[in-house]
Amino acid sequence: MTKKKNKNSIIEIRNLSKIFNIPHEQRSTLAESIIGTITRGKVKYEQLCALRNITLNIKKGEFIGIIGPNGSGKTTLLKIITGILEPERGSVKVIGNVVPFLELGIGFIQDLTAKENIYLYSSLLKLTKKEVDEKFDRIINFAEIKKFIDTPLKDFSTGMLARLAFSIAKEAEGDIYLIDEVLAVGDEEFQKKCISVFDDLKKKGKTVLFVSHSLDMVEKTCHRVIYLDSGKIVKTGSPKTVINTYKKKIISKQKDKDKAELNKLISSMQKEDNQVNLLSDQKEKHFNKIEEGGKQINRLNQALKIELKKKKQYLEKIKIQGIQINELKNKLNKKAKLQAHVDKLTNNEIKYRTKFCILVRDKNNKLLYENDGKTPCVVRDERGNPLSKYEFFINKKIKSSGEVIIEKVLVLDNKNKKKESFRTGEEFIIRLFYKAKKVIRNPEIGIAIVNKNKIYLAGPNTYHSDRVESLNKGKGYVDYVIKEINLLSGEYKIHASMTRPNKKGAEKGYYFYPNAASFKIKNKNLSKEHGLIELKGDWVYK
Amino acid sequence: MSNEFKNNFRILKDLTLTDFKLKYNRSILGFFWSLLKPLLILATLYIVFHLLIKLDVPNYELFLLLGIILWGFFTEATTNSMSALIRNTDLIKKTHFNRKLIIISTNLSSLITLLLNLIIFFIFILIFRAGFSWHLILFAVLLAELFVLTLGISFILSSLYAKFRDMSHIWEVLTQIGFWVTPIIYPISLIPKKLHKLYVLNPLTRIIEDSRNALIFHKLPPLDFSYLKHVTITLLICVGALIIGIWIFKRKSRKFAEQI
Repeated sequence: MTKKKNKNSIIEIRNLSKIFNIPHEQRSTLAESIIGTITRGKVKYEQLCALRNITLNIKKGEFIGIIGPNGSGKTTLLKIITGILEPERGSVKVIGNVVPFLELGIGFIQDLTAKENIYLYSSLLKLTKKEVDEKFDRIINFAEIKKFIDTPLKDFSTGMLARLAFSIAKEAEGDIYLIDEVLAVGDEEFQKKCISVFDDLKKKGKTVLFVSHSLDMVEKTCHRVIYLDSGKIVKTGSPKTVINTYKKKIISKQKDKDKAELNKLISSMQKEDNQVNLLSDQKEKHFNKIEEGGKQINRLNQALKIELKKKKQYLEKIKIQGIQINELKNKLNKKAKLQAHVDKLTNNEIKYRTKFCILVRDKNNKLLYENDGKTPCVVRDERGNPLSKYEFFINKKIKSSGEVIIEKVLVLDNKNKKKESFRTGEEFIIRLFYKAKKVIRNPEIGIAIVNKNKIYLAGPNTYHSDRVESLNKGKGYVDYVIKEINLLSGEYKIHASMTRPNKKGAEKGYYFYPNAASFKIKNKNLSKEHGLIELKGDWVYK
Repeated sequence: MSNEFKNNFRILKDLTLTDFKLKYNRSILGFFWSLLKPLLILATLYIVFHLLIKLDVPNYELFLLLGIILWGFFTEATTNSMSALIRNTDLIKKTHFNRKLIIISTNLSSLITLLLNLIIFFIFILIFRAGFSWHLILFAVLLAELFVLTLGISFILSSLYAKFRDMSHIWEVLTQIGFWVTPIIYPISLIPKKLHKLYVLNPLTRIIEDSRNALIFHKLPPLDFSYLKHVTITLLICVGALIIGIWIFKRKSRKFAEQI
């Protein structure tokens, strides 16, 4: 049975496989391949399986359609049947003359004219020159290139070339026609022509392998259809069923694609959902936070209210304190005013007292301060305290008119010798050295004896004595002689003064020498002493 | 079988004519150029080696012209054959016929040019009164030998060129060297005897020398042992080149449609 079948078949393909080696690295020159082999070893190939294990029998007179997506191996199959490509495995048996029409054309030589190409190609298709001469007009008419028969083919458009190729191919007296996508190049009229050619070929009982993407054409013209995909025969059989399968496959592929896209969309939507969920979670969290924040704000508000109350209270307190402070300030002001008044009063007093020139000396008789007697001033001690009335008094030294000056005061004993320490009852002389510019008549000479406690003990004065004397011009001295000093033990100071006599008062021309001299009284038996002075009295009993 | 042969013969004829036509690109000047080329080379070399260097060879102009023509055929045929497959990519990728026909047709096309050049050479013989003799038959044999050699090398080169595109440069260099190591501008007698053994390995040596003897000097070579040895070696090389060439070409031609 099979043997018979085999006898009928014009093309017999057994376990056919075609593998293309696609090199990873292009080595198109000897130099490159030598260098490449040395440096990187043999070229590695990627194997592309264009046809896998194809077994096919085609009977004489069959009109076979081959369909399938791009890259499914349709053209490769035709090329192998033609003999252009050699398969890696399997066998191809072709009985008869094959007329190929592959990849939109046939082998033309671009530099030759259309006419020359027709003759050359016809001879490749095993037509004799005579035969071509006969068919020449039909060929150019069919191809619609009558005007261009002497034009080199390089100036032809792709459509023209394809038409020319097809019109030569159809005239070839072949047994098997391999037609690859002829319909893709022509306009509708040319397609109609093609269909009529197909019918013609069918009538003549030629075997045709027709590759096309035009499924309607395939269904209309073919006896049998082979559906190729990825180098494998998916289905062979009657056009309707195979084409339906193909369509279904296309649809399912489309569906798969759509599904994949849908899945993509779904997954992206899910992603978005997740994101939305995440965001809403975040939102909730944020809301919670906001709520918590609100609570905190309330708490803070209450705290703030309390604080405000406290603040109010504080403010009131501060107000009261302010009032108190103001009162105190007023009091202080009053006090200051009073003080100022007091100061003024004191100043006035001092003004009054310092109508005259003031000379201030320290303990060692050094001049500390001199006032002309007109400028008001306050005399203060070392600590800054104003001096008392008395102190002031003893410290002041009124400038004299210059007529007479007390140069120094000495304390002498009865032998006119300078002495500091005495005993009660001893003779005691106070000598005042003076210097006069002129003779001064009836001067007022006075001394004051002061004890340690600044008590004014005695003040003998010539004003009070009736004697009238004169001071000579130039230097001299006056003695005040005390036959028996009646002062008791202690330290004493002598202030001396000398003035011109004046009817109204003794203040003009006054020369005052404070702390002019000092002396001590020392007794052996202190226990016998009571008081300051020894009175020369007698106790009388009656 | 005879039908197939007839077919192939027709294809060969068409391809040869096509190749010849395309070579001169339909221009008359191009065709005359191919005739003028050896004459111009002849003029140059003649001036240099006869008038300047004073090579003492009888009938030097004929001697030189024959060498140039034969060498020119060899280089042109091999060089054109090498790129013939690439030039006819469309034919190889879209039609199926014996690929050898392409190479043979290219060689035949070059042979036509050679024959045309030989006509000029014969005109030269008439001009220089060198005369003709029965030795012309010997030349025909030598020509066949040369054609076989050229064809064999063409097969090898075209097979290699399909894969290695730098073969054209390599071959160009080799032919340049070949021009000087082949007795084209000088007679083998000028070469020291020591080097004759090396010259024996160059098949073109004897082909050109014998051609000159036959066509210009009208004498037979000395039929001694060393000459016969030389003849045998040349023949072996020529036939060997053809066998190897066909073998390589057959092996490689399976993949031509993919490689080109």
